[in-house]
Amino acid sequence: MADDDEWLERLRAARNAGQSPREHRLLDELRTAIRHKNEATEVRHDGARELARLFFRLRSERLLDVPSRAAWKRTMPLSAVALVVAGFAVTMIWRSGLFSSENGNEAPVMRGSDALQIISVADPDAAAQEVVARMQMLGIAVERYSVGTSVGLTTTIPAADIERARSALAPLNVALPANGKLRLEYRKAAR
Amino acid sequence: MARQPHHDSNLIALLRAGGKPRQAAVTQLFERYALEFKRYFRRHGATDEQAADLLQDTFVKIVQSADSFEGTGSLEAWLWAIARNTLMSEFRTRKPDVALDALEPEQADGIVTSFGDAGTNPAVADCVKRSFDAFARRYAEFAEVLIRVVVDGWEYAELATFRACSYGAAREYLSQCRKHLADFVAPCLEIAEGR
Repeated sequence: MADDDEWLERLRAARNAGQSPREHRLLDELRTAIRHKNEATEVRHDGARELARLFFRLRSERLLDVPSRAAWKRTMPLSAVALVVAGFAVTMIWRSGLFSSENGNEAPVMRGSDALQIISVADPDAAAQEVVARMQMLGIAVERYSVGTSVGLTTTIPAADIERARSALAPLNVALPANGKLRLEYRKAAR
Repeated sequence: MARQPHHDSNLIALLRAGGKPRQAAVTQLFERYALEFKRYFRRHGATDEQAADLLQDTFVKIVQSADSFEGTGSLEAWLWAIARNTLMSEFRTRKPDVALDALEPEQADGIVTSFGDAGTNPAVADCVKRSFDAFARRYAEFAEVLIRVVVDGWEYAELATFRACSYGAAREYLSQCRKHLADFVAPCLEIAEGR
């Protein structure tokens, strides 16, 4: 075992570099071969796209925004107080009618948000396709992902096109945030 | 491997926090490990598409399991253990093209068997490279461990975490690995000695 320890140490730390006997030089060659094996492994990797896909999935599975149990235990007392205060404030504002809309037909507008919109439909694929088609007519590319039966769409619409895009999406009941960042997920509606 | 326990515990805290901190931690970990994990999956027979899916599954499990990291060992080895478990789960549900250390024996083909000194002898380098490739085809998991030793500087502790075994079992595992590798590399030693 002591031999193995020494061998491991040499292999990981290149301790035998320089004036070493042949066996040690062979270990150098082995280290080179191992590095080469790792680096020569061919793999298609589009980091940015795959990271976006991962975030889409994490959001879909409610894993991005929800604190873990350990964090929740630490912050729960504060959160509970904050929740009660916020609830009270919302109730008061709601009752005051301060934000009641004067024009009920206006398309919904989300301001400064990159929140994920989730819409349940019978056919997520077709619904997503409709959005993609409408955006394509405006020359706007949309990134599309699938997770199970859900279909997600993300795109950032240039400021100049936001109003036109909003008009195109309104009939589909899709709200476009004021910053033009559309993050939409169609889920299959339960029967 | 540069040990960064401070940085590691920060990353875990961010992962546990949720929201933007979690997003930042996932981004950091993804940038650091995604390519290596995919290489690992590809070396075990996954296609590019399967490797991409396994990568997603691995990171979902990392987020889900953030609470279970105790902070006593290496975060890196813990992440690799999750990648390995994800791969093994996939193997259980789908017949793999290559199983972890369960392939048919295969000899190093085309090994050059003459030449002299090992110092700067390209024949020896070529022999070792071919031998290790053959070894990796025969013992995929052994080879993977050696890659982590050389590339990331793993020791027994990381190996134990990766394989979910005891420290002693990790030592025995590496000992076996070394013995099997020696059989493959033996012809190269002969080349180096000019036999």
